Amino acid sequence: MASASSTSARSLFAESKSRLADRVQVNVNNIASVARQISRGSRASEAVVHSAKAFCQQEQAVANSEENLKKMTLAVAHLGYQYEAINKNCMLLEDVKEQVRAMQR
Amino acid sequence: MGNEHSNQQPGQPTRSKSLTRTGSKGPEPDLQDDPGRSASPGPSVCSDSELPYISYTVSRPIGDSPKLQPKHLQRGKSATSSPVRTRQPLLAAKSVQSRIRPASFPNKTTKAHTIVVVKPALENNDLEADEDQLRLRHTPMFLPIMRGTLNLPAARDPEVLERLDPGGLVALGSRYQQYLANCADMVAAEQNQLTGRVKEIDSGLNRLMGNLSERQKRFAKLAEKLSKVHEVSSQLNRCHSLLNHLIESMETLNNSLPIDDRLEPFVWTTG
Repeated sequence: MASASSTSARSLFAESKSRLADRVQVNVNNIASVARQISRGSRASEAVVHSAKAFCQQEQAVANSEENLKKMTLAVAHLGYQYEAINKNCMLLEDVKEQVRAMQR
Repeated sequence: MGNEHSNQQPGQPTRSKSLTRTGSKGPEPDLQDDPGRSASPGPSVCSDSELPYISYTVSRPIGDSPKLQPKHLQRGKSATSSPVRTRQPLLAAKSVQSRIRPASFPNKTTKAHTIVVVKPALENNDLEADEDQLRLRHTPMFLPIMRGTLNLPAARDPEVLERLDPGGLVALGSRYQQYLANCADMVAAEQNQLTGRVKEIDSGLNRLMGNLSERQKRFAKLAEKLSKVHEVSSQLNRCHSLLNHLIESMETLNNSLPIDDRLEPFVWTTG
């Protein structure tokens, strides 16, 4: 008998439970739409995504800079060698002048 | 638990009957004895038009399941019927019904296994140990704003809507929105600044690279020109030695001539 009353009570509550569930669902959906409106209205994600995209496009520039830097280290080394060579030749120039003077005597 | 699970089996044929309205294997008198059980899934679960194939699986469990799950064999459960059962967790208080005869299941194991159960059926160890549902149950009891609707649903809605003032919520929402916008703007501004700096640095480095390469080319030319100094000095040396040799040869030639034909001794003078 207890089971019969509980089943009838359960059948009585079934409809109100479903209605309550519907209301709860409606409320949850409304809250979700409010939250979506807040996040979309602030355009936060748009701004951040836009700046992130622009920054990503600089990646090529950064790669170029790195390559340039490497080339510059090589160029600096070359310049060093050239400086040494020019220095040596300038010293030789002095010797040549001495030779010419010696030949003139 | 065993009672509950064994109770399900006769329930499913009744459910299949309620779904499909065709002849089912279940005991029909049970439907009249417990009219409440057929309504237990609730009106929101499904309708027979949407899922007609359930009748096949509800009344005839798939053959492999008893072999893979021997404990189900003892309880008389099948793989496909368990998801159906999880929707009815509150039927534990049922009285004892006829148990399932597990003899029906071993017959199916002798057939060829064409269907493979990839994952065994889920079992609810506790009643809803799910985190979210626990949290839902722990929410405090509260009364609705419109107290009248406790008994009568949807009564005098417009009146109450006038009394509810959305201004506070609107202000809160717009403040939060403004705050989010400010934060995002700050972050975006800093990021754009960084982007500009990267561009500047890249252009500066390009310029420097151009200068360096230009200087390198010039120095290469100069170094090449200056390297001729070495050549010049070696040639000078050769000239000098050749001239000396020439003078010596001239002296010897002059001395080998007779005294009458000799020229004056050669003196190197400049200008």
